[in-house]
Order: sequence, then C-alpha cells, then structure tokens
Amino acid sequence: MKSIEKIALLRHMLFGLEKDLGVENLSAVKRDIIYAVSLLNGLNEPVETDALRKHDLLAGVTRSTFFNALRSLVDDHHIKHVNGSKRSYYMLSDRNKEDLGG
Amino acid sequence: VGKGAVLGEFVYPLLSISVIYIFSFYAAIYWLLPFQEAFFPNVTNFASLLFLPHGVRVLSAWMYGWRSIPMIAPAALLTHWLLFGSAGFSIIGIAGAMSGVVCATLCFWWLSWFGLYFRISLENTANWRDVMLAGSLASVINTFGIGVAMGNPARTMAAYFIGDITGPFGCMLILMLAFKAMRSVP
Repeated sequence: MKSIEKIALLRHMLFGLEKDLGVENLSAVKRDIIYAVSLLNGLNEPVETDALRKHDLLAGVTRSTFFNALRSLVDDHHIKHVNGSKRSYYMLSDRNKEDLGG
Repeated sequence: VGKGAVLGEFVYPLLSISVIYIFSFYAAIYWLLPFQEAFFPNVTNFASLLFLPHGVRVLSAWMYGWRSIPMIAPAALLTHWLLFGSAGFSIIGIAGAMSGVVCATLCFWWLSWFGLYFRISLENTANWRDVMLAGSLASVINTFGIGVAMGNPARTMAAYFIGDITGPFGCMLILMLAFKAMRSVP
C-alpha cells in the first residue's frame, strides 16, 4: 500500500472519530440544506425535495451539488429519507433535532 | 526493491515515527507529568496517565504492521534509557522495553486470528474503536512487561495501564484536530 493511501485511510478513520464526537465540519451546502429543512418545518414533518431545492438558501446551488450533498447527509444520518411516498421527502434526523432543540 | 521504495516505505516512516515518538514522550513526561503530579502526587516512577507514545506505537503498528517494530525500536530504546538509565539495560530491562515495542503489532496479529482484522486496509473501512481495542490489549502487555522488568509497584502499573489506554485516544484526538485544521485551510 502506498504512503498516500495510508495517510488517506488514517484521515478517514479519524474523520469517523470526528463524526462520533459530533465535531465534523459540514460543507456550506450541506449546512444550508439542514437549515432549509429546519426552516421548512422539517423538525416535525417531511419536506419535499422540490420545496427544498427552491428554498432561498439553496437558490444558487447546482442540481448535482444539491443531490450529492443531500445523499451524503442521509448517509451520515444528519437527515433521513421518509419512506412510503412516491416523491422524495426528508426530515431532520433525531440527532439534528436535538441540536436544534426540537 | 528500488532505493526510492526503501526510502518511502521504510526510511522516511522510521524518521517520522522516531521524531513523533520522541516528541510525544517529551510532551508526556516533561509537560503533562508535572501537571499530573500536582493532582496525583503519589503516582511515581514517571507513570504518565496520558502516555502519548503508546498512541504512536499503536498507530504505527496499525499502519506498518511488523515493519513498525524496527521503526519504533530506536526511539523507544532511547526514551527507555532517558527514563531508567543504565539500570534499564539489563537483559530483563531490555525485554521490558521491547514489550512496549512489539505489544501493539502482536495485538493486531492476535486479533486477526479471531477474524478481527483491524489493520489498515483498502478493503475494510477503518474504525477508530477497533484501533482503540487493539491499543487497549497492547497496554496490558506493555504494563506487565515494563512493570515486571522494572519491579514497579501495583499503583505504578495501574498508572501505566491508564496512560496506555488514554494515550492512543489522545493521539487520535490530536491528529483529528490537526486534520480538521488542515481542512479549514483553503
């Protein structure tokens, strides 16, 4: 294994620690998605993807960046995908509800 | 094996690990220990309750496997001499020092016997808890190795054990903060 791969894996492992300690830095887009979900009442009820994309906070974000960030937030359990609907809906995860006082 | 590969795969890591090990030893003994002695004056024999060099051993063993043994040995023997002087270089004293050098590598190897392959790998996602588990097992070997070799009392051995548990976590925390700071630089 090359040194660069070792450093990358070390960094990845320590990012896991960062996430577990809840001190990871989210990118500006990810942060804005969380803010937008909370402003659209995502603390209490599911928010539809189109409504989220049209939110002022995310107005200048390209489609691919938006969906990449959204998927990453779901993977990292910051927000959750709500099942059972034809369209995509999202809510804040319990962890973020606590952070936002929900 | 080319000269570049030897430099990249062994010589540079050896130099980096040696410098980091000695620096972490200096921090543990000369910065943290006086602070600790203000609160726990009865823990003696240079037993730091946050022994960062054990974290260097564990992370080196995680990254380099068996090769970490010759990479850690020079710095570990130097710091052993700084702590114990010539008294630490009897046969049993050297055995005690070497228990610290090999403990982490042995633990990663033993754990792999039970299907717990925690070593660095592109296939397995690395988990800091797995590395902590290996480091904690390694602290048992190191505590008994150095404690028995140097005839330390139980209280000192308990402090070694605690220092070897907190050391890897402290190291990972410091590295995590360093990487976090690097990420914030554009």
